[in-house]
Amino acid sequence: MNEENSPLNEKSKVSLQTKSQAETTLDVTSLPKRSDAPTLDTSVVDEQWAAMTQDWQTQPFVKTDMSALVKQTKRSMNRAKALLAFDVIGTVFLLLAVGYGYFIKQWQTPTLIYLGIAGFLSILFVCYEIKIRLASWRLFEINPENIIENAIANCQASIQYIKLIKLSCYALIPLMNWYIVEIVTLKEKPLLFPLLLSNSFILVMFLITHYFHVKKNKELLQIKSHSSE
Amino acid sequence: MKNHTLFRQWMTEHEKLLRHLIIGFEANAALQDELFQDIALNIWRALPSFRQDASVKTFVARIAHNVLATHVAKTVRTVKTEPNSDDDQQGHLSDHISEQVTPYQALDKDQRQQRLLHCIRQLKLNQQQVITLALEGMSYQEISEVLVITINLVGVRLQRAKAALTTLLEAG
Repeated sequence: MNEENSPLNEKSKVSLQTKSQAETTLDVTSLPKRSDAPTLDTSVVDEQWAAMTQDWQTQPFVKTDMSALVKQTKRSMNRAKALLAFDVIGTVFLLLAVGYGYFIKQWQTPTLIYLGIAGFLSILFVCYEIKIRLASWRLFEINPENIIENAIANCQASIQYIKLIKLSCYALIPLMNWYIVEIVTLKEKPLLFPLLLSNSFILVMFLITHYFHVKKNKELLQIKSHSSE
Repeated sequence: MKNHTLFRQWMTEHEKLLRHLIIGFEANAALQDELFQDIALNIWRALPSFRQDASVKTFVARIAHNVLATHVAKTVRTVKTEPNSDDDQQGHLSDHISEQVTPYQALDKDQRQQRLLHCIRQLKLNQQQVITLALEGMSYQEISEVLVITINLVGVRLQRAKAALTTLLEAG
């Protein structure tokens, strides 16, 4: 029988669907041996493997205080849930405030516009946050073969979130300044201090966000370079 | 059984496995602790999704590998290329050892463990994954369940990883 048609080489006829399949199939049947590649005596590998296994398994390790670990894990879990709940409640509160101010208390128009836009932006933030948090909380469900792609997707989602915050900073500058001018003029109070305070707040928020933007961009490049190795 | 009781039981049973896997991927002690806590947190989150018919060991190992692979992908590799103290020691030792004993075998246990870790951290990610699980004594079947790859592919990757690791160890 022609060796190439042997059932042993059946895998070479299968169309390759995935990278994993390709790796298995090519390795078994079709890769030519490179004459210039350094050849390693398998007996050396096997002989050393037993010693390596023993060395590996007898490595010393720091014992963990399990009670402290349980406490800390619970605390981290609760903190993450509380943060998310705080954001959701904050958003709902903003929207309720708009309704309350419009229908019951007849608040001034600038306040209603300001709260309405803040509520809308808050909904966007919460949606993004839930998406990002759920992705990181479901890490255990990811196929380890797709872990790098998953890390790239998570990093890109974080960058989108950061861009959204930056965008909201741009939107906040005219909106907040307009709101302050309107309110302060109505109350006939000095304008400079509230304007300086609010613009400084936006600037600090923007700079912090920019720092994380640069950091996440570097991280994304690193992951991508890793995936192309 | 309550979640926190189950969590405590799993963490106690598999602490050694987790600690060994972590040091196979990360050399920095502070980051090792962070990774351990991160894995613990992910195990806690995953508890409700655990199917009773599955093996706890492979479930825990898969979570650990997902956390560690993500960490490795995000971290810039800083593998030392200059000769370290192990290498110097090895150089001195190699003058005295017989031809049958490899440079790795000539080191004392502590040095061998350090050298082994150093070389494992230089492997490719998919080689690091199979080799650390195999060194923990997992079968091909278990490794394939942890990494969600075929048993054939486990064999292929493990052979390549062993060869690469041996070459690194021999290179000194």
